[in-house]
Amino acid sequence: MKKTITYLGIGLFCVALFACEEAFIRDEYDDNAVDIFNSMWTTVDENYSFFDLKGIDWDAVYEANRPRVENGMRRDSLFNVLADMLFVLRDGHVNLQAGFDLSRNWDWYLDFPQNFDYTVIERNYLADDYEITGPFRHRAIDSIGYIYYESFEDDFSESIVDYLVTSYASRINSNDDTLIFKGLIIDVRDNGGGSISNVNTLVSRFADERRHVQNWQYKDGPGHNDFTEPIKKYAEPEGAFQYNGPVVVLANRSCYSATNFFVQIMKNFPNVVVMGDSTGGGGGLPINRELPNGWTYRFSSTVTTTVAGENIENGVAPDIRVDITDEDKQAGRDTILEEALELIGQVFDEQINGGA
Amino acid sequence: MNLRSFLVSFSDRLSGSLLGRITPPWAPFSKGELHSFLKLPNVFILKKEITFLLSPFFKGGKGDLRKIITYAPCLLIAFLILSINPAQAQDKFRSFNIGAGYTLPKFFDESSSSLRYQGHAFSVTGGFHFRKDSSVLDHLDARFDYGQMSAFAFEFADVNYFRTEINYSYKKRLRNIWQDRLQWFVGGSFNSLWMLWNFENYTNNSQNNSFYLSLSPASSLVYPFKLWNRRFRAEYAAYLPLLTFAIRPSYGTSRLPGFLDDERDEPVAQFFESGKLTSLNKFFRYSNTLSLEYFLTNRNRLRLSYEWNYLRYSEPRLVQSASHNIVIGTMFNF
Repeated sequence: MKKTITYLGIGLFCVALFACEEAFIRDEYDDNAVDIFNSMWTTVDENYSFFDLKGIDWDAVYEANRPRVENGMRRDSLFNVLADMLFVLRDGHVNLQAGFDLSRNWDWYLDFPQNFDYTVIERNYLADDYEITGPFRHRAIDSIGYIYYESFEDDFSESIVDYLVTSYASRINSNDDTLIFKGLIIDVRDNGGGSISNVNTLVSRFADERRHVQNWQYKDGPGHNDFTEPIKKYAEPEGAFQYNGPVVVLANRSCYSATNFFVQIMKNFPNVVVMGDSTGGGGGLPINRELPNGWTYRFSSTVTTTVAGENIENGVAPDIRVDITDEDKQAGRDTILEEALELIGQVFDEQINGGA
Repeated sequence: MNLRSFLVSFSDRLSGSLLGRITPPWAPFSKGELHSFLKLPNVFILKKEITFLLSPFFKGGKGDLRKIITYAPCLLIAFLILSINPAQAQDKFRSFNIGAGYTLPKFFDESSSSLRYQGHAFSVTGGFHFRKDSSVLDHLDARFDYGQMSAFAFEFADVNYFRTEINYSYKKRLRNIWQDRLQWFVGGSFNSLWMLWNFENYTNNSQNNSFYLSLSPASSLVYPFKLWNRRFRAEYAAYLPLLTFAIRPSYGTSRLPGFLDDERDEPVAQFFESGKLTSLNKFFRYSNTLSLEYFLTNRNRLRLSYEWNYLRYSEPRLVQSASHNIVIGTMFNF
């Protein structure tokens, strides 16, 4: 009898273990306004990476906004509360997306001069005689290669970038000593970022050697300063040809995210000068999360620093600061591009004279 | 023939056939017996008798249908259990198995979302089973799932689900129980489990990779039996990992080894270095499998199995996953 009860007990235990996960696996929050608010506040609190850099008191943000939330409130009112809370982070990588609106803080470029007008570039510099190779628009201006890249979201192949750097390689025709190209200008103004794998491909054509270019840190705990040790990142020469002539990268405040990475990495190479305005920033990789009502949001969760340890979240300063002047704007001239053309001309002349 | 003699006759034939003594229950009654039974008065009596027998349970109305739906499967199972006979010990058996089925996966992962996900997946399985004279079970099983999942907050599936599990188990018969009808095997198993949840709407943290290597004690209860003169084999198998090497995504963001070169160019080594050796206090997993094998005449078998699997790991952030999996397949003897 005792044995029978034991076996029966074992059998019932085994059967009971089937299909009982419903008791354990549950949503962390319910779909109501207070839970939605708490879900977002807590997730950002435990994962956002720039509280200390920006001096943000996230607890104070909770105290200020929590009283504005009550269950049963209108969806758009709740959206506005959450958007106000995220606005405090002053981060272009932070957005709340509902079906009817996208929250954002774009002060990183709205509070600064634009320093770029593509109409001027298209009509007065590219004109009719330019090539479109993948996402790149390019031509030679005064024997200097000019490449405009609008967005790192636009992918390109290895062969395209090989073609570009080879085409504008700084060299002299050996047959008749005529100059072909003095250098290269890469214009990434108004490039708001995109895929960092495109950054990887592009910078590899300018790397003179395997070079330590930046450091990454990941969040590894819920505390505001819980980060991994810095992980060194290296740029390495790749592709058929490495461009070693003079290069000027043109930047403005609308350079963000992947473009911010690109400009910062290019600054490490000895033949590259960054000209124009500071980039807009965006030095943390954004991650996505969801709310119990189906809205999604994203925020930065890593830290990127230069080799010297400077955080690039708030932008990368240019080597040579140039703004477009009002006179040039009226005259349809791009001051920054003109300065870049002049600089490459000077550098090339110095190299020729120095070499002679 | 009246109703009572008909029922007695049917009952005798049924029990006799199941005990293997006389003709099976579906053997026809003689023409005369049936004609004599189907006389109108008998049919009315039959209806009356059934109504009387069922009156405590069925009172008319909608509730009856619910009762029928509830009780009918139970009665069927009870009928099958009462009908079966324990069979002789198994022979030596080697098989190559393939199968396909359906999985109902669920998960909750704090490192990706505060929502629970659920979905549907297609499964394919394969394996080798070696069984030695009812004394050893030596099984190698593999299963691959692919499916789509969504949280209840979303109207569309937005997570692609991949799961691969390879499980090797070696069990020896400990003893027979339940009057020698049930064979109890114990042993160990080595399990490797890889799961990928790919969030289509995410960017830098879209891929949530998990990998677990576990050592587990394992046990099986095997019940060979005969039903309707056919040979079957039922097995309940379970394992509970005690020691696990677990690799999970980092706290917040998936590492992006593809961007620039890391300090070390050894992504595989780094992947394994990010793992941790853990045990029951932080990693709990339990797997139950019920299977039923039907012996074909050519020594091959058909196999129907149901598995319930639950996993809970608390580092670096809580993850829970479970799946119900049903697979039908063939075991090719070789």
